[in-house]
Amino acid sequence: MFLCWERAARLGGEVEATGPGPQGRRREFEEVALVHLGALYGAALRLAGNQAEAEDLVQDTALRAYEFFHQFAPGTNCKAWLLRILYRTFLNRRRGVRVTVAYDDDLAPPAGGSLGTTVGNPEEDFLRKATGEEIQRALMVLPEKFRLPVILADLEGLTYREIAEVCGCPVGTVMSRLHRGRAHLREALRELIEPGRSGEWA
Amino acid sequence: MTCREVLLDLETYLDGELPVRATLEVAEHLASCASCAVREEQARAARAHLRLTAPRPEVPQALRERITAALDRMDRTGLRATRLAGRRPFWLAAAAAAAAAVFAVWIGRPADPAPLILELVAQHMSVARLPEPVEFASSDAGAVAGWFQGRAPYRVSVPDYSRTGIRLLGGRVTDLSDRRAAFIVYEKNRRTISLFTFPHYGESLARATAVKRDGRTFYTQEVRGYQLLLWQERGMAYALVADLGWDELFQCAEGLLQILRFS
Repeated sequence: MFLCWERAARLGGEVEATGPGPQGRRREFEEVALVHLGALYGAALRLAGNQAEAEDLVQDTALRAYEFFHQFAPGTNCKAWLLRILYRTFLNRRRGVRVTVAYDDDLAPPAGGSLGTTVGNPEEDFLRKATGEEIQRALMVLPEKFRLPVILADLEGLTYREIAEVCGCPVGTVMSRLHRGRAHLREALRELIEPGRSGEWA
Repeated sequence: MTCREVLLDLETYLDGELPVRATLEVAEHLASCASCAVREEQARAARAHLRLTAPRPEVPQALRERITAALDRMDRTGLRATRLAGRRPFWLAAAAAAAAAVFAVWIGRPADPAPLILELVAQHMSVARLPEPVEFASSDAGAVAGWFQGRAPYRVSVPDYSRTGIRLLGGRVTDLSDRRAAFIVYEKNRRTISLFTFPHYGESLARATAVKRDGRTFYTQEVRGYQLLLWQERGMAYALVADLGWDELFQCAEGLLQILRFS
């Protein structure tokens, strides 16, 4: 309650519009959740691959989040919570189209010897030359199960645990997918920036 | 820690996900090993570049507006926001108690309406109160039907009831659970008549009363003094909501069915 009043004061004193009533709930939702609309839209576009579906996804996600806002635990990462709803909505819409719930292949260790070259290899300064468009294109060629962890970790800054909750898989799977996703991304970027020099895809 | 071990852990280290002890060991190594420190610096720079350079698509203004409008609707009705939480707006309890079997074919006892029916009635009620009930105002049925093209992913038939004193106000697009619905608004004697067209997902209408007419099954239910008439045809559902009595609603349904028959 005090928080609400304090926040109202900071926002220019529309104190009467806050409090435990529906208006307070709406304001809380706008401040805590709707500020992440951009992140949701970016993730939706990269998941769906087209604007119309991305918009529908974001709208469904926002409404569902508002409906279940009482279930959100204050103090936890609201963006992660929203992205989880987004991904579930996405899967629900795709249900019947195809279902991919296989972790086995991810659990296999990445190809031997690749680890040493995946991070900060001096030859990989090309990464810093990548343009926004190249990054976008490289992300979109990633298989979906690798793309999502990379987006969540590297663009949205989620923790492994949060990513695991969004994707509905164990933390170990997240680590493996993230690692392989980043390796894929690097190779895809290298192919875009320095064609012909690409190494093997993991 | 050897250089190789550090490089193996570097990714997780930069993610801030190494256990405390391993984090300290990597940090210690990086502080004393110049070549690993260079690799760390490059990896950090590459990450920062990726994060800052990846396009951040702008949220379309129209999408923001749609979301705001939908949230407003939820605020007004309180329906969707409370339904699944197991709570119902107080007026629904009152409505269920007060609902009387005014329709001649009514055989069931008043019961909580199906969620879809509640939502239809709630949308009718909220729109009926708005000073601007439509997004596109026109009394020309053809113009309203044209306006829906591209806004609804299916063809929307707009009946003209003007000969029976029912005036077409216009159309709006609304969201009904997970789908887009075409919402046509009419008026008679200052009473609103709503006609919804939407893809039928096979929701349960079990608590509505089924009425057979001309070999067709209509579902009827009265909620808080509003009559709702719903039927399905070719994968679509049509619903009329008003407080003008059942005769008027069935006449409206008949008018729409005539158009559909010729389309």
